[in-house]
Amino acid sequence: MNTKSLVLRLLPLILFSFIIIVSGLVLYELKKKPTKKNLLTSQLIGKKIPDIKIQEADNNLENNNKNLNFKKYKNKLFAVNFFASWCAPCRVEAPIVEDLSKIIPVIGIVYKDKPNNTKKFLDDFGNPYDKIGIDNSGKIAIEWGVYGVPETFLINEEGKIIYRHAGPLLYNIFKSEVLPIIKSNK
Amino acid sequence: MKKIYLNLSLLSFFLMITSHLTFADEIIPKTNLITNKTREIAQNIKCLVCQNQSIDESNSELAKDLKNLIKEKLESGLNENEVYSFLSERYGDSILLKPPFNTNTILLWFLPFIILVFSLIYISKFFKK
Repeated sequence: MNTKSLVLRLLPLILFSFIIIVSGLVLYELKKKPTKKNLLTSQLIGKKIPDIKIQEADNNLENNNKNLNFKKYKNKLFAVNFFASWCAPCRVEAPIVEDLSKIIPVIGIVYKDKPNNTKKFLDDFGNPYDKIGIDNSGKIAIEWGVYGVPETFLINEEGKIIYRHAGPLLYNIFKSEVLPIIKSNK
Repeated sequence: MKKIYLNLSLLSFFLMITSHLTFADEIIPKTNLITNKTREIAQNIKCLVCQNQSIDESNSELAKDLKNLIKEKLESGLNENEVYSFLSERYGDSILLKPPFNTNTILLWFLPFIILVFSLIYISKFFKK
């Protein structure tokens, strides 16, 4: 049997092994990190916060004709939390966001909500927000690469997004992911 | 004489077609062109909160917002590629239903062809025997 025919005979085996190795490597990479992170990793991690004007809400949660000023948070670690009164998981994460606000300032972006409903939500579940921005059209959320509410971002002293969590911020995530990042950046 | 008639008719036919095209370009309002382009782009954008749907087919809030934003971006003067880049910068290449050709997707694009070529070679050699 010459080399050529041997290679030809082994070709299916070589191909099969190649596919198995590639699939194995892909699976290994996926298993290395939690699935959630792989599926919903923000493209904006490591990038500056989107340069878009966000209208600031007044005490009645109405538009006060001022833009949210992020300059106040320059050289500070802070969080941005997208929320809405109609969003059930936002109620679940409310106490954790409250805890987060005791450590770093949290800016809330109220997503497609009526001022009265937002006000009631904050009265019922507490207002952990240093400032509140309004996103009635959903455009700000898209600029931030948001899939839906709630979503939470951590922004470092340079104004870069260093962490994003899609979905309600639960205590286990807060302890295992958020707190270590805050500690290492303080 | 016959040849002249033939040439004249060909010329008039050509003029009729070109004038119609120019006229068509002028009469289609810009808003319609943008609406059509928005639809075309929306058909290539994956609905991120649905399963196997483009944002053109989806009625989800995010899909509606994305369609509105695409329209606004086109109206502001962005071209098709700039709109795609805007979206993939925020949601990654996975938002595109047609993955771009780059180093991350090279295997995805070429593996089926490699397997096909090797399989064809193998099958042809097998039957030759």
